[in-house]
Amino acid sequence: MYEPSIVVRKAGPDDVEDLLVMIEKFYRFNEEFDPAWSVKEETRDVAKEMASKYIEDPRSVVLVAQVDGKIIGFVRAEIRENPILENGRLGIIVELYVHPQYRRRGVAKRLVEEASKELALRGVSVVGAEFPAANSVARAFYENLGFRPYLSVYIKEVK
Amino acid sequence: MKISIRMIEEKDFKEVAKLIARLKSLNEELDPHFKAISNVEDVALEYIKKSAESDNAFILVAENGETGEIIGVIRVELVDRIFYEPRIKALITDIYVKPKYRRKRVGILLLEKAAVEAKRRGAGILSAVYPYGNVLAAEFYRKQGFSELQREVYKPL
Repeated sequence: MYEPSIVVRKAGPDDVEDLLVMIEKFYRFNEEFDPAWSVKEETRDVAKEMASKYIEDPRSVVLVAQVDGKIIGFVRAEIRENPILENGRLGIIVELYVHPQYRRRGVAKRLVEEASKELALRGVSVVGAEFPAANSVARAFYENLGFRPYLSVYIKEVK
Repeated sequence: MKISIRMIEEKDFKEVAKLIARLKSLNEELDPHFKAISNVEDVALEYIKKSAESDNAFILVAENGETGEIIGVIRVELVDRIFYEPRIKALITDIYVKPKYRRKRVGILLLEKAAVEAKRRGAGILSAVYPYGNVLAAEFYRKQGFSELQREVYKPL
């Protein structure tokens, strides 16, 4: 069930401050699952730069979820092309975050659905999501929405 | 990297408070029933001071032997189970390792040293408590051979 008061809309320049906080929290959460995702000690400036870039990037879809004028979550997807594939235009969700106190009411699901619609409008036929392999919370979330494993990336430290 | 595990000292309090604060915000991320207060670090500092002074609790820290950086912490409380044997239970209330230093067995080292210290203080059981949604803690303790001891249920009022 969606709460009617949740509004999902495209992010704009006024959302940068809210976005940067959520970007930091997204990465701080993911680093808990794998040291290869360790973030820098100071992330505020980088996160701000990322947020400002995203909202102007023509290959990104950035949406925010809002309740009573307060931003409580966001999603960023990017469009990637592989010209040799039949369905070579993919929309990949690279960041998705909802503040803990607004969880369990379908906000993230709504963000994924709205992003998927927007990506479809831009010619994407497959939507994917990237997250650390060890992030079992993300895996359960996407599987629950009908996503299936598509790509495996294995890593090894070389230094 | 050389890792040493030792008792907390006063000079570690501030750094350890940061780690405890990170654990609390991780718990909040994994389980919304554990909404963290806004001044969690200040409260953590008091919590650490009190634990360090108490006879019924202890804190061990993991230190990067090369840089002296505090990279992990474990806090244990000794609980007297007056109706049961063994009477003294060591309860791990907090354990946290900086993400950058994961997968290096720091958590296991902390756990092992805490077990030795708990035994020395008369504990016959080592247990741990963590939020239901903390899948990382669940996996860690499962791998270390822990099993479920008791359940805590709740309903909002």
